[in-house]
Amino acid sequence: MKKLVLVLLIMALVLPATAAIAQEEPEKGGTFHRGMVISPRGMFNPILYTEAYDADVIVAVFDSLVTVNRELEIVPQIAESWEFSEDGRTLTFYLKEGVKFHDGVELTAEDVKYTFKTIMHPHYTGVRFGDFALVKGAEAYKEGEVDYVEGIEIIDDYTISFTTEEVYAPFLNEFTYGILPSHILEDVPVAELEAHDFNQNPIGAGPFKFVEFRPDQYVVLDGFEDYHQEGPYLDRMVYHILDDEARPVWLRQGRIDYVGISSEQVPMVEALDFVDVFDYEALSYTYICFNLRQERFDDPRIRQAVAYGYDRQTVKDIILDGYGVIANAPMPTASWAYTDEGINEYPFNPDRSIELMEEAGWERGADGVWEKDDMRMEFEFIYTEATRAQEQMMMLFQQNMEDIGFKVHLRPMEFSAAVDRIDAREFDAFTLGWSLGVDPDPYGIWHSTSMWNDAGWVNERSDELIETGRTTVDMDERAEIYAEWQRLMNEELPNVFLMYSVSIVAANERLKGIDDDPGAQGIFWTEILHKLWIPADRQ
Amino acid sequence: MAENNEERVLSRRNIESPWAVGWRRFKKNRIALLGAIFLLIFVFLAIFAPYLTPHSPTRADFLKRNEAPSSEHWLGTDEMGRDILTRTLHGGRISLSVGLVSVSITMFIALILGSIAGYAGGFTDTIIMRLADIFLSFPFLILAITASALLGPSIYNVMIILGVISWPGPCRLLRAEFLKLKSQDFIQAAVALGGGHRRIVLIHLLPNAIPPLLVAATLGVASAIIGEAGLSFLGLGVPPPAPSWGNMLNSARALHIMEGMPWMWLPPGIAIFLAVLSINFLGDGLRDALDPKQEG
Repeated sequence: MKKLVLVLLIMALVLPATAAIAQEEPEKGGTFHRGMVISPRGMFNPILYTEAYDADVIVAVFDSLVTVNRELEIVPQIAESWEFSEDGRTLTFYLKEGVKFHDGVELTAEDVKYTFKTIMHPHYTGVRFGDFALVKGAEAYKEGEVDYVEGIEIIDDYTISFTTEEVYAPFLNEFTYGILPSHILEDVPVAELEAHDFNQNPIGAGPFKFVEFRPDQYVVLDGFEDYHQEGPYLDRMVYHILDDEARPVWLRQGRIDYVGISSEQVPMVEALDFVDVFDYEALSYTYICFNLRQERFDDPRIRQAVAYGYDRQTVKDIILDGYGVIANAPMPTASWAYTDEGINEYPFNPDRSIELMEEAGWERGADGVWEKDDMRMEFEFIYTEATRAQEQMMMLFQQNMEDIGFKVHLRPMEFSAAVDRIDAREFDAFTLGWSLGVDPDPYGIWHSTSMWNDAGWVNERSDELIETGRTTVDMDERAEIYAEWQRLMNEELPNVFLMYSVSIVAANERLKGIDDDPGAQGIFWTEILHKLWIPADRQ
Repeated sequence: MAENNEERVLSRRNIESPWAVGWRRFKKNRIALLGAIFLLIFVFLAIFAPYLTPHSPTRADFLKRNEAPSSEHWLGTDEMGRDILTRTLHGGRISLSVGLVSVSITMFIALILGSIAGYAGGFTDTIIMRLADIFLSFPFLILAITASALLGPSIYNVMIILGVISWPGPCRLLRAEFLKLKSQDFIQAAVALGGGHRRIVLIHLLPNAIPPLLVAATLGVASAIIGEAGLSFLGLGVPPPAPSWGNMLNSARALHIMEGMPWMWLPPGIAIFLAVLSINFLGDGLRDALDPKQEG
């Protein structure tokens, strides 16, 4: 589903964006220095990456058929235009001519076919097959019954069509994945793609060429002269991976032009007269995930007890200084499918938590921790140690849980180490965040068969709603289905939802071409990366 | 024979023991005495920390975060609304116990290996000393960080790490002392009288080698406190929410706190400074007092 990308967690992280209502004429040159708190993993492949930090680099290196604008609408990128057939099942893209990869080879329909066919390949190791499972013949190809995909048809070098088995509402959104160069990769066995060094030396058709990646230090990209749209105006874009505390200092020293910051840093950064601070509700949320494969977490009342017992109001008002919206379902306020109708808010109420535990048949042991049969509410809790706010939330969580008889052993980990543990399903509980795609389809995270369903949640009604939702085209009808789904999630709480994130970013005023009235995508985003510029006298 | 015994008893009365000499000298050393007094105060505060303030060192109260010093919170509160004074006192408990325990571990290892090396000599000595060289050739922090990353952050691991990696210094000291003593007449006499290895080491050699070791141990406590603070500052030492001076400094290292809220980092900083300084003064004083070559 969607390009949701695993991630983020900390509100302060970053994603890109700006739109220029520039009266000024853009000038060429200069290096754009941006900060990030967590290092990319180095999987710079648009169909294999899973983390938002990799995605930040990928969107600059790879262009896709379509992309998303400020209002979260789909707009052209490599595809000049597209059309749906009468029955809504065939989607035809008309590609721009003369689009070049960074090695000078022209991008054609073959590359598009290669990219999406690879996702359906039997040996494909990534997580995105679900997005294309409805393509006609995809299942047969995936199962190895045939060696072609019936639903992908190249009409000529610049025209390609995709046909689905049935109407699939989010289909257009799936084409925001970057296009891979088939002339480099077509001879690589798909099973070996994940280990191929292309992923660390990517070549795409995006506005920036990949130059160098040093884990935990920096990523360097250079502007691509032959880019198919205007610009890029920047000579170079450098992502600096830096410590939480270092962010305001680097901004003050002018060493970075742009970085996400945390709420406590706002006053300090606002005091700088050459740096502007922006905030916006992003398409992301944070949550606590219990491993429902363990019997002790299986009863929804356990999760409800946690939701009532964790003082999320204090998290929002004090730790986050008001930057955030308390979440009670997994649909961000910035999404058109968001609803608060019929949603239980789980206000802070430890007494209610204790009632729920008692109702569920648990009893407090000698040390005040809940016990039932041979189960005990004592568990390891993984979090990523990126920001002070995160640290404070965890301390509060541990204390709140202790008060309601849950013994929590906090386990701070590095982001990628945490993700490895989670992917291996070797966890009791953890907290992270999701950064979502534009379409609200929750299939990728929540369908019982999805690889990103970390909690291991299986619910027939949920699967049914999710499946109906993605095959319904009418927006109002779809919204109603998702509203019902949100109420189900709100009741069952397969995750304990924490916050819909409000991102705060700071930008040096020399960075031009940004949107100073940011929407859900922030002050700049993929669509306009190539339009960012820095005045010649400040380069 | 009887006369001789009489004479020994008499002389014992008249001749001051080395410890008495040491104490007499020590008393005259103002700075060392001051160090000792400060240290006693620290120990007192650490032992009675739970009774000295009404607040909990770990319980967060976000409604009271970042408060400047006041009559309720004498040294203010931290980012989670915890009383800084309380945390500093409890931090002293942890810092001092890390210092004492890790030095005990160091001394235990040093005592055994140093005695063996110094007394046995030869090949055994060579092996032990080369082992010591190997330990000494790694920078302290690198060893400590690696060990801490492998074992995971916990107060007991910090004690073990600091204890285990500092043994070569005192070990060599003890060995040198043994070598020196071994050639002296009273040891030769003990050997000539048929004293066993055990008797010679435990009754004759060790007690005479204790003073320099005592000095080394005292100074070792100071470096262990610094070591703990360093590891905790790097997030590899005592894990939160338990307070230690090092992790209090760590949680105060954000720019807005450094610039605007000195009450969060001054107390643990000053505490480390005073504790280490007073222990070092005490150690220096002890060295001067216990060195038999000095006039008193």
